[in-house]
Amino acid sequence: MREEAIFLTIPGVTGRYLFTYAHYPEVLTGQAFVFLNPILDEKKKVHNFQAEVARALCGCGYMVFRFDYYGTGDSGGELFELDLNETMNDMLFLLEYIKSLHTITDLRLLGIRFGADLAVLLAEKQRQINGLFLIEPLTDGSRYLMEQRLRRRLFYKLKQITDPEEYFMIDDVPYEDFQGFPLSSSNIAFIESIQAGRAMPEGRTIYIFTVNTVNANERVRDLVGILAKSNATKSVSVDCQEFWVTFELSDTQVLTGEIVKQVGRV
Amino acid sequence: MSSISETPIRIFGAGASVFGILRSASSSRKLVLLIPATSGTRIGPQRIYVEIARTLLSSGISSFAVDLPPNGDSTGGNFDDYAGDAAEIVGRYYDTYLELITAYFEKYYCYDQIVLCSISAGCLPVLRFAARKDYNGVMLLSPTQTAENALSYPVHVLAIFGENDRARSTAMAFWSACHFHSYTGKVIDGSDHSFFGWRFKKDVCKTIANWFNEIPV
Repeated sequence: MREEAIFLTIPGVTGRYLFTYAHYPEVLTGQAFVFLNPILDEKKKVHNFQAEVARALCGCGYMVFRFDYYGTGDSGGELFELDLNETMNDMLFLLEYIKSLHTITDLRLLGIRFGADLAVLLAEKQRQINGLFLIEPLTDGSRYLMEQRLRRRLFYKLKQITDPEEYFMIDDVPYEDFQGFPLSSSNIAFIESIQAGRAMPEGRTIYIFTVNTVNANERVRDLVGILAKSNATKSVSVDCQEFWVTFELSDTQVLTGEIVKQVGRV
Repeated sequence: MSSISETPIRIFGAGASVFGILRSASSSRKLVLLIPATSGTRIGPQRIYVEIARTLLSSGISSFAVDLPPNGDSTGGNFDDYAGDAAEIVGRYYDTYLELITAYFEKYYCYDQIVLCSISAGCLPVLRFAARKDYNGVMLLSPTQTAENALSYPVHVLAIFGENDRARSTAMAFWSACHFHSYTGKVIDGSDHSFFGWRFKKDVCKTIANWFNEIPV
């Protein structure tokens, strides 16, 4: 297996580049996964898990491509420059770029949290995407933001931070700060627009994974029902107590194992 | 005019592979190693290490932000490989990979000065390592009180604390009583232990840039 990290420049946009990380099996079979990240603090929490899953899938014969959205991770730009609409365009470019380098016969997306909802949006637009692996999709963007705002309020109260500056301006543009991650109003609108059933891909194979939280299972049941009308859809509940543990060294092997089991070997 | 580059690097050794991003200015002779706390990755809490790295780059200073195994995109590595009490295990764990990383840069690059930076639990191991290797300086983000008696090392130290870090008073008293070439202690107003907040991260980066301007590291 081989791993390769490169900084990929988006053509036609000065200074816009993405950090990409590719996993290649010994024999390239044309079957590939592209991973889509969560946002805010969830991105950091799943880094180890993503690396673990990517290597496991690569061991089964799949190429795996991971990348950081512009303005996050090791990609270019500052955090406030994350633009979720442009991220959709970046994804389309990335898919074309990957196809220009390799013969891809079977392309699947694996999205975690916000990345899972993004995967559904992309699959609606892109017929080339054959399958979706959705790990704990948000399903309701407004609810997600409400939870983040509650969490933020509690955090500041516990830490006795009395002047957190939750709303501020950068270059005359208003932002809302989510504990170090400023979101513009257009990003907030994008997230708020996430709703189960709003995007409807058709004719795909979709796996939806939940990690033993009651609320998530209920929300996902609705999503499964909606997507199942036009897709081969399967819901997988995994008992992985540590997935949302604060520290990155949580043991997620049971979830990885379940994903690999559902994917199967090439 | 100095050119800037960001380069992924993988370093093999000690039964592991260590992955990181080198952000370098071509004319730079200084290298800052951005070392995570035990469970962290090269990005740092809310991407703080990336922001510090790019702040340093704008001052003509290179940096290498790294995942310590088995975290992030590094492989191998296991705390079970080390014997001793918790402090000894952490110390040996950091020593193993810091030796690997610094040997790599000493062999393949021509930096005159290496400064180490870490956060929270990573602070004491990197300080001890820097002193042993005769490096000039360390930057400690939210260091805690780590010993009964004051430490004494011939390095320049920058320690940054969050005003609302519950351990701040004790930690600041401890670190300011230690003996270093120079000690600069700074408090980020309003911040917690991990500098969770847009403004707080910017203040951390500004503090670091000022320190490099003021102190001969």
